[in-house]
Amino acid sequence: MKRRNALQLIAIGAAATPLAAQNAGHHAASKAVGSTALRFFSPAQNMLVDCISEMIIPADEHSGGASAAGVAAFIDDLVADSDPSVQKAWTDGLAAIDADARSRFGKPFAEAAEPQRDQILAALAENEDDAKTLLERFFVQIKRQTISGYYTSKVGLIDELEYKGGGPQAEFPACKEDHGA
Amino acid sequence: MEITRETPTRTFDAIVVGTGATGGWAAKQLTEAGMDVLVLDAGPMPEPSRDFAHHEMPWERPNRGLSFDRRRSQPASSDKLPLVWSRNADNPTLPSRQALYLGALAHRGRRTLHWSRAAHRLSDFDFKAASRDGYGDDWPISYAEIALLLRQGRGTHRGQRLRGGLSAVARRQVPARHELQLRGAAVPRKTALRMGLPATHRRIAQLSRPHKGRPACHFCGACREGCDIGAMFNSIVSTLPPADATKRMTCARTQSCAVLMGKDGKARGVSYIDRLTKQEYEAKAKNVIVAASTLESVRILWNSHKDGLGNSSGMLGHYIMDQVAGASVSGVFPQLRNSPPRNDDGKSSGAFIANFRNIESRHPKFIRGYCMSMSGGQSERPLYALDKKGYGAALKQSIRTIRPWQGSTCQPGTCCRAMRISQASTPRSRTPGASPC
Repeated sequence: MKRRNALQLIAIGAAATPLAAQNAGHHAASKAVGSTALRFFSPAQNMLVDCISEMIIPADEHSGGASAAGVAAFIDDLVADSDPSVQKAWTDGLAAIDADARSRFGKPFAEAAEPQRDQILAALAENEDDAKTLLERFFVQIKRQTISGYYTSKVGLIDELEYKGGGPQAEFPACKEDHGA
Repeated sequence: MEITRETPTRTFDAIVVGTGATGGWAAKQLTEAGMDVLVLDAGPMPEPSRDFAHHEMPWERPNRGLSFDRRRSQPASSDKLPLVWSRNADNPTLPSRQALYLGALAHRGRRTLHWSRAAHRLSDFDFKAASRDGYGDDWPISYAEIALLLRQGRGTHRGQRLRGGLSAVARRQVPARHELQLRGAAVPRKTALRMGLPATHRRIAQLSRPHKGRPACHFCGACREGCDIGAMFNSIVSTLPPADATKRMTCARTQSCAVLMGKDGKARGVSYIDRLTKQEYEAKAKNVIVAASTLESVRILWNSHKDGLGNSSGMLGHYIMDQVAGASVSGVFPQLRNSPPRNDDGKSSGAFIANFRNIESRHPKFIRGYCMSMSGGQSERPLYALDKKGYGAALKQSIRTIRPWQGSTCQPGTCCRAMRISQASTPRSRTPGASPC
């Protein structure tokens, strides 16, 4: 685990009071899944975000994927509230991945065949630990936000992870299983 | 408690600045002892049903309940954001919406509303450690001096037994009184016991049965966002209501204050600006208790006298101690592979290993010691997910299957004496903002 993430985890450390919240957390509530009112992306950009996020967390026999969870709308909200430099990184990244697809396969990313799209993402994922190019950094960013959006959605938390908490419980059963520790 | 009962410029027996853990206790103890007390705090009394984000799922919350940094487009801090913080973003007394710090929370009860409830008791083993190993300084108090207060406190902190902090040697003999409830904590506890380490489970100030009108915990897991039912210890349910019940507490909402000094060099009261009327008042009292958090208390003392109040030793701002985040480690337990999904949020406790270093023998190089708190299980946020490599079906599958194995520990230790703040670093302005008083 990277130190940065380890430090983030301090905030949930068992005895630690969180020292600081970075945030102002002050923007509009996330749109409902399936909402079409985009705040930042064009419809084409939104479709591309949706396509890439679904490739990062796809639907499978167990549950829906990023598309069903409305991850693209979550990212649209997020980018709309971000600074212009961040917004530019997203539009540049989306343009670059389309340009990459065109140069390799002669068509935009979303229209490329699945193995072709996979080829592009696989190349980007290879360097996710040490992302250098604009495209590699874009992949890291969109993957990160896909994970954030997906696992805070109903599809991700309830259907996929089968989360059972979040409300009052009649009792909290003790752990009696022997885990061979 | 919201309304000032009488003109606050009269003479009180005592003035308490701050309503956090210390201020709340001072208000309770002094009013119950028959004193007429003025309590100052910037914030309003929180109303749990309005101000706390309990029982909301992430998709029902602004920004999915994630903290947000617009410069990096990052809702990435993995922690849940107490909604009371984001609602504080509308609070005009806060300096900026960009940066909200817990220490700047402007509501009564302060950090007691958000603490982790782990109430480990220190002993002379901790207070007098310097005498034993020669590093640093002893605390200026001993266990005997605070034993009475601790006994009194137990009825109010009440909940799970708070016997976690006897002397380190005695702590080893404290048996686990409850079945450990978290798998993520049960595994390391077992391992620790097998290694001969003093492992038990954490004692936390959270009610396991109804007590004095407060209900027992209902395991919703939103503790750090302010307990909606008042089952955890905090000022707004535990200390301020009994103080209010004596009819001897007067509250005022202030946004800046300084201690007034008499010609005899003793405190004679407090001058403050009332947040509601914007007027400056002077309240008189022979006793002034500055309990406005580590940094703010120091700032008030600096602002109360040109050389710093109570600073004839030159030590003001030195030897400060606050809770700072220590080292933390997280990982997964292979033993829990393929465990069925289970609710591990709303847990009432985790595992705890008391200090085991340098107790009976002395390590030639390792100074002092540390304790460890351990927690884990299937929490709402799959924190490890951001670290998983790759994408696609394999990524999704690995995040799901690894979920029950999560565990993390944090290691509280000792602050070193190098920590200090100087007058130059404390703003003197009376701009509304960070000052809690």
